[in-house]
Amino acid sequence: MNLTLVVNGVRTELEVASDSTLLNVLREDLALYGAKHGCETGECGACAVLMDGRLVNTCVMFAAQAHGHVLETIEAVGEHPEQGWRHTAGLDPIQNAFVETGAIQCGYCTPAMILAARALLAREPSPTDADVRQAFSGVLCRCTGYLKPVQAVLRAAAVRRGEAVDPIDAPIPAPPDLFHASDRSGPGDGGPGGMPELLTRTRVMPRIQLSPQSPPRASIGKPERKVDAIKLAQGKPAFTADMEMRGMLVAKVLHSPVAHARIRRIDAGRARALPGVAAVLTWQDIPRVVYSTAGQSDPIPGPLDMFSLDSKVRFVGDRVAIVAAETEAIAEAALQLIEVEYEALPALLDPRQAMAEGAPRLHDEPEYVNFGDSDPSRNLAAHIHIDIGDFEKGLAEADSVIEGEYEVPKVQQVSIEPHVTITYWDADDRLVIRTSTQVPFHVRRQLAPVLGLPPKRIRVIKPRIGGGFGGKQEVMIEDVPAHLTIATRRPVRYETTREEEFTAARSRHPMRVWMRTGVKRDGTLTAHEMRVLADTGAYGCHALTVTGNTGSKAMALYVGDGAYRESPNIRFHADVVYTNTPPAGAFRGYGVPQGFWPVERHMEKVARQLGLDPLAFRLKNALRAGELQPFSTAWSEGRKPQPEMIHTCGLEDCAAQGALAIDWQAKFGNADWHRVPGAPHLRRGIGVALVMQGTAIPYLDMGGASIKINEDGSFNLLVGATDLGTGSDTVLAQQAAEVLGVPLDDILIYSSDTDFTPFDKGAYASSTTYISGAAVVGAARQAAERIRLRAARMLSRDASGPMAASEIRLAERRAWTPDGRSVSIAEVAMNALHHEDQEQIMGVASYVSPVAPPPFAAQFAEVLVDIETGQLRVERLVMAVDSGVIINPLTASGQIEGGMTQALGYAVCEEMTYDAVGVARETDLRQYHIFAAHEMPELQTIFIETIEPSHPFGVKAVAEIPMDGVAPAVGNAVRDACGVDVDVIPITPERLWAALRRHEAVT
Amino acid sequence: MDYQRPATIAEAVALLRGARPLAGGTSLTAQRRGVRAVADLQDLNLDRISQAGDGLEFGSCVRLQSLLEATQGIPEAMRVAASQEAGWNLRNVATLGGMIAGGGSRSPLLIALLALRTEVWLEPDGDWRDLDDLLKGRPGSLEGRLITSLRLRLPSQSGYEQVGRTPADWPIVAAAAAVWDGGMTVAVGGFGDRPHRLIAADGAGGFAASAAQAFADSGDAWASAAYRSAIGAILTRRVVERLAVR
Repeated sequence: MNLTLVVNGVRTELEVASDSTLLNVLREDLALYGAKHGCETGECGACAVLMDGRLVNTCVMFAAQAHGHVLETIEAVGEHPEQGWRHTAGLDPIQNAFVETGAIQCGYCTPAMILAARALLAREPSPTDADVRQAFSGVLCRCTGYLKPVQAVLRAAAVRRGEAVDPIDAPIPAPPDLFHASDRSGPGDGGPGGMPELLTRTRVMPRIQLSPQSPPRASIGKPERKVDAIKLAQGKPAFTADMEMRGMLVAKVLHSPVAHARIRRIDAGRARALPGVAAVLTWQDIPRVVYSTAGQSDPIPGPLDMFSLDSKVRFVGDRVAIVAAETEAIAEAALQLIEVEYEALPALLDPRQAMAEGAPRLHDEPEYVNFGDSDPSRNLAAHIHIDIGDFEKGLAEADSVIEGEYEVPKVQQVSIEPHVTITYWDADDRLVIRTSTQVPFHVRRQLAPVLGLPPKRIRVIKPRIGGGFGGKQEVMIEDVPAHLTIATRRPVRYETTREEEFTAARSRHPMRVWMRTGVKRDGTLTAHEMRVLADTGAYGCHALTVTGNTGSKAMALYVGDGAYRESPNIRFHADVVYTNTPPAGAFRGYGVPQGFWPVERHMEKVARQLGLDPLAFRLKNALRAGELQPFSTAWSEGRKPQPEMIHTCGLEDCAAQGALAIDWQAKFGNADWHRVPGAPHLRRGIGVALVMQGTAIPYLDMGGASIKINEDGSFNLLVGATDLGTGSDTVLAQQAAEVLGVPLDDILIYSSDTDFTPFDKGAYASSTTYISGAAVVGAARQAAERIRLRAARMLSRDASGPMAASEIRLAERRAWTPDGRSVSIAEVAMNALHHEDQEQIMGVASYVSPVAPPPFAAQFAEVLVDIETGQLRVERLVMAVDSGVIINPLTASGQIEGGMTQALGYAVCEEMTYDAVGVARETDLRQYHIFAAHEMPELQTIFIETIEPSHPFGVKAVAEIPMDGVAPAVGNAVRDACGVDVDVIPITPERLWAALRRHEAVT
Repeated sequence: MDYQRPATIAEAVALLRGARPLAGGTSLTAQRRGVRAVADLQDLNLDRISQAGDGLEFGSCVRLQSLLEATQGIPEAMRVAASQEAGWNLRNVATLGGMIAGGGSRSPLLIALLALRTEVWLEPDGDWRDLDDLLKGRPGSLEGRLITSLRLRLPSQSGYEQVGRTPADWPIVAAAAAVWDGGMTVAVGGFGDRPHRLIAADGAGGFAASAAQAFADSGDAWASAAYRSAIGAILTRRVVERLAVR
């Protein structure tokens, strides 16, 4: 049909299919890629644009409905201020505010948020926080926790009203003095630096308790703008799917409707005959190569148990066939024409039955390759048993032994950008895989045998990623378009639907956990045991390593006190079993949130049973600096363990500062505070959880970096590290800038292209700032040394004598002598590249760590419980975190805020469940609810700086630890509020109500 | 798929012999592969809210967001439920008619509309139908017919209560109530294929008992019948008592 649209002020005539969605027309016909695909049902809002000034979702609107209307997309809003000789107005104030405040993480939902803000401010120039949250109510963000985007809009509104706003890079607010705790104001309050009072304060900076040993820095510790923020604020086509190629086909996958079956017959003849279908592949058409989709370093620490296509299906959603066609509609029609006869096999849906005699066996394929103690004959994907000290002796020495059983659910990563890959042959007949991945180098290595290509004939490019959270630490879909490109010789795009994300992607391992703890009357732990039954689903990706983390991180935090501190008694046992459900995999926190729910709920019970203060009891037994990470003596993901000393631990200060911020002393145990005047059915509660994580995988995971100087004194920094929206490109560039004495603008970072950048293990295990950062520092130091040598020579000519390179200091884009003379780095570059003893000043370095220094944190939660209905509302989350030195307070606090929000969903609403035949209940973002802007609790982040000696700038990890403590802190707050223990998450209203009724019956 | 944009109701009704009515499209687009033809209602001027006697009349294409922005004194239950129904972007497009045609038992707005004793005008053969009857007869009751208007008598008070996993989640259990001249109507939802209007009862206790009964067989994957029955009674009691106090 013919369509007339006015798009961004331009009248446009189009001929489109009448059933085309507006999103497809904007992206495919008009190349306006700022509207993103995140779902097909309008719930995520990433596709939103303005129609006649109203924010509308384009994925649930026919293009025909827009006929005759006026559309505005992000492409019409602002532009980069530097366009050569052409003057521009620069970015819109809203875009500027998003850039300045750290409101942009992955940037996938940013265009929709900015358009929502434009629509809001057009109607209401002075919005409240609540107004902004309502404007964002239909735009889901999985990265930020919404705090900074809301602040960005309030800031932009103030700018548009002509008001003064406070600078983001004002002095970092410090937390209150622990000994003079009169300052109870919120983050960002007050006027640091004696600033005048402003109408609108931008509250995006965390409080940071700086270490007294912290040296002054130029770039490190500064709230620098993200290096990719400007392009993301403009909705530039930076993501995998934001491109068209001539002749590109669309791929679709036929998924199994049954949980367990052999494919007795499959006939793709009718599908292949459908006009517009380019290829249909079944297990009969491609080589049978066993592999693992877990994106990990070699050798993969898990079984090889998967095929691109198999003659057996193992869960509802497993692959049956793949199709490439000219259009999505044709591909979908082709799927309907594939004839499949299934020979149903008994399905195993309950992990408790997996190792029972006579249980259905999922993996009977002869190609199966074991790893460690995996045993497919018992449906065992991994088995772990770790004894530290003498558990039985410790138990015998206890005055009390307290046991408990806990359960954590299967949950989905829900990156707003689904999995998406484009594959094509380049001019040299090398297969290019452009993909939204956290592990580009692992993709190349692991897929090479599956595709029958040597790694050198594959190039993997990682563009910007719209969130990953572990879900893209999986070589999960790249083989689909790759096989189809091989089959058709044409470019192929495969992008999963939201339903496929729920039914055929990865998730967090659900677990049942049994705890047994020996404790003396004074609260000293004498023995601590965790037994785990983990469900890996149909395939064993990450089974061993995720579950290993459950014990080795969560059970490492409490070692006991006194003599037990020297020699803790800890036992960890885990069976990770196969079931006929979608595979679990990596998810931010990587097994540790599963561990801290039981550990911290259990510690709360122990403390209350003994009548001890829960916070003091925890700190009495918690790991401290100068002690060994207990599991380092016994476990290293199937490799030889190497003892690791904890050098830095700010846990006590985290607990103290967090307690102060949430007013723990005034609330905990205060009966008056717990009751709500005028609402006898409501109870307030406060809870805490202490947590630790790790930083990278020692002796295994390596990151590389290279850097070279340009003629203007800027530098190209190439890293294999994979920024998945977290801001790692920014913090890596900040580390290079610090070493080279240049502003961040002079570091041009390019990440993750297997042809051009050095190797990096990828973005996982909270490792990038630490591992890849150390590599960047190493490379930058090499370049800096060459600059100093040359500068010394240049500056010696007019000096009294020769200058040693070691005397030269790099700062403010110049090389300085101690007596204050200097030469610019641009002059050094010109000298090196053009004038004298020409050389390319550059550096190449890599880093692998011998330790995995843990970050620590104290997580606090405040809740409101309706004791009649079980309705739970989390009102406030405060997290005080020791992540070492904070490179960028904006990006780091953004990680904490977003992580707490994701963890809040784990605590109260996120859960993937299946019916009696293995069909998923949750297939969209309505049934699977993630937190939206207008229902968020108050969030507060505090950093306790320690200086980790194993990193050049003292950093530790920040990305994963916010996932660990929210659920138990909320669970403990519920206990505090109404005296009941809910030991299963999510704490749904019915679970809480049932616990209340049980408690009522007992009491 | 054939796309038509009729200029009159008569044209629209004529098209419905083979086409699906298209209002906001927020539900229909997701099912588009199976749709042969649609009649887009956007040119029919069905997006007005007007006073009508002692009540309000709504065009079926009134958007949910319009209920929050209207100046005509939209009943509280309707406003709260519309806000609870969806985020801003969807509210900007989704319509009242669309909710009636496709809304389920967990739709806050449908629960509120039921409590407000909403009537629905159907074309052809103009006819005010009680919403409850219409919902009970779906989809047959809407086959070949076009919802053009809704009307309700303004209550002196109304309210909405729900329990969900989070504040913005759709309800697991919900109750809405409205009061006119001393009489009260209560509707509950959260289970099954549509919300339910409770039989008139005496006071909060009577309505609570009626709610408990209505939820007696409400067990599904989201909640047990025992939970819904208990909470349905509590929410009903609360909303009824709240309105009574006022």
